[in-house]
Amino acid sequence: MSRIVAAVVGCIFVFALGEARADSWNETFESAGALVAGEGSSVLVVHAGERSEAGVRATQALMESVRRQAELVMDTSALGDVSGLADQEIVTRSAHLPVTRVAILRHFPGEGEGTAVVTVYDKEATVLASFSAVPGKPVAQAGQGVSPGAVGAVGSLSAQERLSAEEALERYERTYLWFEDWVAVTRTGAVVASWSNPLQGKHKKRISPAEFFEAVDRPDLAATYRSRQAWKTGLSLGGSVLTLGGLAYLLVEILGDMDGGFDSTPLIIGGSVMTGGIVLGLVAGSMNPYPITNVEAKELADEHNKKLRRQLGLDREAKGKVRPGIAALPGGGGLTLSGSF
Amino acid sequence: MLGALLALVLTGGAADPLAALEARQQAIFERVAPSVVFIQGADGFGSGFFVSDDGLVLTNAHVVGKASKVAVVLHDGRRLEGEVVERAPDAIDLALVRVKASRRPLPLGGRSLRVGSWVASVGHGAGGAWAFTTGMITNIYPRGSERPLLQTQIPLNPGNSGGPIVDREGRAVGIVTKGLAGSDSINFAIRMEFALRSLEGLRAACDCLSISAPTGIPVLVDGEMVGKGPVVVLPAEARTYRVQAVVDGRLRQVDVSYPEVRSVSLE
Repeated sequence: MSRIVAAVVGCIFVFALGEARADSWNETFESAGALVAGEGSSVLVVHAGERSEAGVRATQALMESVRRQAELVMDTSALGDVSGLADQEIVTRSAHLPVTRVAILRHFPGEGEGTAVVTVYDKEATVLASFSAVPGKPVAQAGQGVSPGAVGAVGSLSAQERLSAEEALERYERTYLWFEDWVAVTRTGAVVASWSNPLQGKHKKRISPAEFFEAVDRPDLAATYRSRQAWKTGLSLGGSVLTLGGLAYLLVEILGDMDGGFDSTPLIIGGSVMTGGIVLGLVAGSMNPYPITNVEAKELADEHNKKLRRQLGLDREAKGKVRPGIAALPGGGGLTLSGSF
Repeated sequence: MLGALLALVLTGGAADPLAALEARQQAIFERVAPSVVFIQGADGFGSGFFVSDDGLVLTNAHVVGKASKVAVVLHDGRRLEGEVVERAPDAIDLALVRVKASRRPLPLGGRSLRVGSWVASVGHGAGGAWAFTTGMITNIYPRGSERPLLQTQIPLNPGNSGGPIVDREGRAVGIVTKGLAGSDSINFAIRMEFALRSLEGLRAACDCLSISAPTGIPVLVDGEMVGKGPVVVLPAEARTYRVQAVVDGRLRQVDVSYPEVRSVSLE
């Protein structure tokens, strides 16, 4: 009995030891993915050289870390036995695979779990990165500066946003907001009415007030406008229906009873309905669906246009300032600079 | 007695840390400034600094321009003629100038540089002579397998170009190269390790750790890649480094105590 217990305890111990060793490689490669994988990269992770259990554990831990960074991670199952191959031969053999990088891990036995050396190549077998690691000691990443992956990610975004001056100007001219003001005057010059229509861009695209509020990033105002406009339309329609209904009732009753004596009832009913309709129409007509004044709307348009110019870099262009940029470069990333001492 | 006790309580019994910082900064300036020179090139002026005791000055290529001779003013006011002896290839903004003068060279460093490291510069920004400015490393940019570009928020101006970026030990860890016009102290320096790879004359003059390995093989120092064979030259300090390379599938590993050992082969 005691032997069985001892065997079970031994198995648990060995299992726990294996788990602990795997954990320590996980700790080692926790942030290594950023060193191995760039923005949008697909990586083949290879355990090269003599196979060992520690090497397998290290490779699995590295793959886990790379998976958090890369779009695709492949193992060596497609390459066959690579244990005896040099790095260059492995990269050459992986030429047909849909990967952009090859990370080769070689494990060397030694004290404890030994040492792992990781070398990262592009498809032309150019070394992109290399580092060595021992279990439990995280691969140095902190404080070394921005990672190539982060530079690549920012570079791809800023490249999308980086428009030429002409493109930026064209986009601005198509999307800025403005108002067309109308003033009605009499022959003597007296102003009897004025109104403004919101327009977008140089082609004078007419937009509704709700679209205007949404364009200036004020959906709350758009919702208020729509609600008020719905009430106004409803009251207006209701008023029209009542007015016309009352009129029709009156006409039918009066014309249909021309021979009879005067009966005031249809007049009272039809008149009341008509009056109610007219009142509703007047209420609808007096309702202002706009949640802000015309001046406030123009201020919103101004702010929107300024923000648009900023986003498109047109304000900087105007001031002649230099824009820094981070750009993706072959094998990583780099900084694009302008201006010099 | 009571006053002394009160001072002890207020300072927590420790020396004034601000005074210590001030003294340290002053000491660094005193040590660095005599090694810095003013350079008048064909297209403008800039800074430079001695990297050898036989008159070799490191500066920017854009400071010397296309001239073969430049005017060099030493910290003691002496005006000399300098000869441009080397320009870095591939439009890297570095050049070496030789003057007939002997000055203490700045020791080179940079291995321990991290984002947040304290750094300073002495130079001639906007015409200010031997002005001392301080700051920190705000980023280190990668390019391929290297990290050659330091960003710093040390206040720098035209005229600082070619001057040293020094660490808290007074070691030159970078060379001022550019700044973004209209920005708030977004300035850049070329890392010293990259300068060593780019200038043969600098490698020859450097009191450095030299590692040889087969051509193209990555060389690792303390786990980090520092370059590729055939030769990697590193600014080093007095301590033990673990040098590694994988050659023919085998790990070559040597623990090197610098400065006792100054060159090692992993071939």
